[in-house]
Formats: sequence, structure tokens, C-alpha cells
Amino acid sequence: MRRLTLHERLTEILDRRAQVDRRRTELEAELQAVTNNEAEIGRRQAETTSALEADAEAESRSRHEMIMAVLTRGAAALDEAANAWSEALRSAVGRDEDIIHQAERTVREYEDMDRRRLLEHLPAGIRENVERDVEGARAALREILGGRDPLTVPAFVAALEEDSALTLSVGLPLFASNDLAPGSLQTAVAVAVAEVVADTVRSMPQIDLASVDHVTFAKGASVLRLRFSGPSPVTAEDCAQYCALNLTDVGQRSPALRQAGVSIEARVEPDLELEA
Amino acid sequence: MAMVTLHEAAQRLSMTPLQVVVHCALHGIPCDAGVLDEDVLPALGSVDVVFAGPEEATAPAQGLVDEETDEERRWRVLRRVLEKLSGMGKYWPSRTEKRSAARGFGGSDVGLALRVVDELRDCGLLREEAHGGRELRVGLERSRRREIAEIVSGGAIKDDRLRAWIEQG
Repeated sequence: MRRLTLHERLTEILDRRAQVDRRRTELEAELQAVTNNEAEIGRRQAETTSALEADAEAESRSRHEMIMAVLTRGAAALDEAANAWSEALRSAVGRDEDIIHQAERTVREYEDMDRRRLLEHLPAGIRENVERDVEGARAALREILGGRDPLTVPAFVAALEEDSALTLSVGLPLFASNDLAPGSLQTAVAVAVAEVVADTVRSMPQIDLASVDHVTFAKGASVLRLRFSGPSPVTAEDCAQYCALNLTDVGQRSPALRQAGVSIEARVEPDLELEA
Repeated sequence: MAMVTLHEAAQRLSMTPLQVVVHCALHGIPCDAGVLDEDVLPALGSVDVVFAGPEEATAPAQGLVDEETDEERRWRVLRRVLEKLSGMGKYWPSRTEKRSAARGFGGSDVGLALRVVDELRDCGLLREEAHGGRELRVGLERSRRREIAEIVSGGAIKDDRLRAWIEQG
């Protein structure tokens, strides 16, 4: 009786061991599958990461190419406008300041009415008069500006914090070869931009300006790079926004640019690490 | 007074013309016409910035104050006042409140900064007018821009009266 019981217990134990072995084999197989899966996920993750990096690099390259192209076109347009901007024209403009203001206001009011779709509500006769006036104003501006329309030139601003120090970059449409000759339109633009840059520097008295570099590109872009000795007291993006807003505004504030019919449209970019 | 173009100034300073224009703006030196008085060139060699805000720290480190003589202190405050006003572009007819000239100085230097303003007025380097019959406003004398730039850049003081005041108080 006792022997039989022992035999049964032994059989039971052997059965359980066989079960445990089976379960272990199953678990080992599962573990292997998970490991294989993990390796596959890791491989896919690496592939996705490198694809994302390649996309980001391509996006960055195409953004830089776009910035370079816009600045090059801006530099060419500025040069073209500068050729019409002779010293004689400058003197004439000085005398015609009232005419410029009046003509600018007429054009601005017309464009505002056009935007708000108010023109179509005007009686035909009055609309014709308004359109005649604005054509006259545009012609007067063209004549005063040496036969060209008012010009808006592009600028780009980026602010980055690297190694706990701020770098502010301003991309401008100025050819490297430009000497900023006395009385030239490019000089007026450079002076206005410099005032904005200096104002941006003064707006952050908590950090010192360490250097002012000027990187020029053969195609027609210039990048001013201001390096500071510490991190920005505001966020780097706020710093860039401040500079860009003032650059866009300076066309209205600078008497020289107003007279020259030149304004600046500045945009904030993540970086301005342009390649030649 | 010898004038140089931005291109010539750039060559002398080993900069590009645009860098010269930016340095002029940082130092409050007008160059709108595209020419510069060559005497201001030494002042453009650095990137010292002239701040106008009240947050600026104009007092030197404590150790320096302890070692500073009265003459050095007057000289330091004079330079700082001129830097500040020229940096703000306050050349007559552009002007600012008289107290703005002393704003940002350490408590012990405020009185001296206001005395510097009075001294500059008496020497003809600065003009003063009552604004609205009450608030005094000051602006630097445009015709003495070169002299002011020399002082800011650490050069000699040409005005005898101002030099005597710096030396003797």
C-alpha cells in the first residue's frame, strides 16, 4: 500500500517535471521570439531615425537654398534700384517729400479699400476718380524713385543658444563686393539695419557682446553674426522676433529708406548656417 | 577734420564696410552719409556697447572702487556719461531728460554723473534746455562729436576746463 503511494507520488513528480520542462522550452522559444522582435524593432527604429535625420538635413538644405535664393534676388533688386538712385534723384526727393507722403497715402488708402472690398460698393464715377488718383500717385512715386516701384527687400533673423551663449544672425541682401559708398541706397539700408541690430543689443544689457562677424557669400547674401558672452535674458526666439519686427518696421521709421521707397520684410528662421 | 569713406575705414580696421556701420551704430556714431571722421576710428575697434537702459551696471567691481582715486572716478563717470548719451544718439537737437544721463549708475555715482552733465554743459560739450518749463533735457554738441568720440575711446581731453575739473575736482 505504502509502496504504491510512493510510486504514484513519483509518477506525479515526474509528470510535473516534464510539464515544467515543456513550459521552460515554450518560454525560451517566446524569449527568443521577443529578442528577435526587439532586434527587428531596433533595426527599424535606427532606419526611421536615419530617414528622419536625412529628411531634416534635406529640409534644412532646401531651406538654406531658398534663403540664399531670396537674398540673392533681393540683392539684385536692391542693386537695380540703387542704379536709379543717383545723387541727383536724392536731392530731388528731398524737395518732394510732401509729394511722396501724399502719394504713399493715396496708394495705401486705395490698397486698404481694395483689401476690404469697399471699391466695388462705390458708384462707378467715384471709383473711376479714385482709380485715376491712385494711378497718378503710383506714377508720381515711380518718377520720384527714378522710374521704379517701391521696393521691399528680404532679411532673415535667427537666434541660437550654443554652449550657453547667444548668437544672433541677420541675413541681408547685400553683395560681398559692395563698398557701401557714400549716398548709395545700400548704405541707407545698411545704416538702418545696423541701428536695429544695435537696438537689439542694447535691449539685452544683461549680456555682453563678444564679437561682430560678417560672413559674405559670392551669390549675394551677407550674414551678420553677433556673438554674446552669455545666454539670452529672454528666449532666443523672442530675441530673434524683436530684431525681425524692428527690421520690418525700420522702413517706415528711417527717413532715408522712406525717401528711397525701400522697406524691409524680415522673417525669423531656425538657423542661418548657409553654405557657400 | 579728415573724412574717410566706409570702405577706407573698413580697410584700416580690417573689417568689412557693414561691420564698420554696425560698430558705428553700437557706439552711437552717426555714419548715415557713408563717411566718417577718421578720428573716431580708434573707438570702433572694440565691441563695447553703450547701453541706455536703467539695468546697466556702470559701477566697477568693488575691489576697483576701493583702489580708485577721485580723479579716476571722475574720469570713469565722464566717459560713461558720454558713452551713454552718444550711444543713445543724443546729439543736439536730439535730447533726453537730464536724469537719464545719470540713470543706471550706482547709488554713489549718481550725484557725480549729474555734476559731470553740468560740467559738460559749462564746457560747451552739451546743451541743456528746460522742457515744458520744468524738465531739463540735455543733448551733446554735434559740432564737438570728434572730441567726444576721443574721450569715449580713452583719448586725451582737449578742453582745458574739463581736464582741470577731472584732475582737480
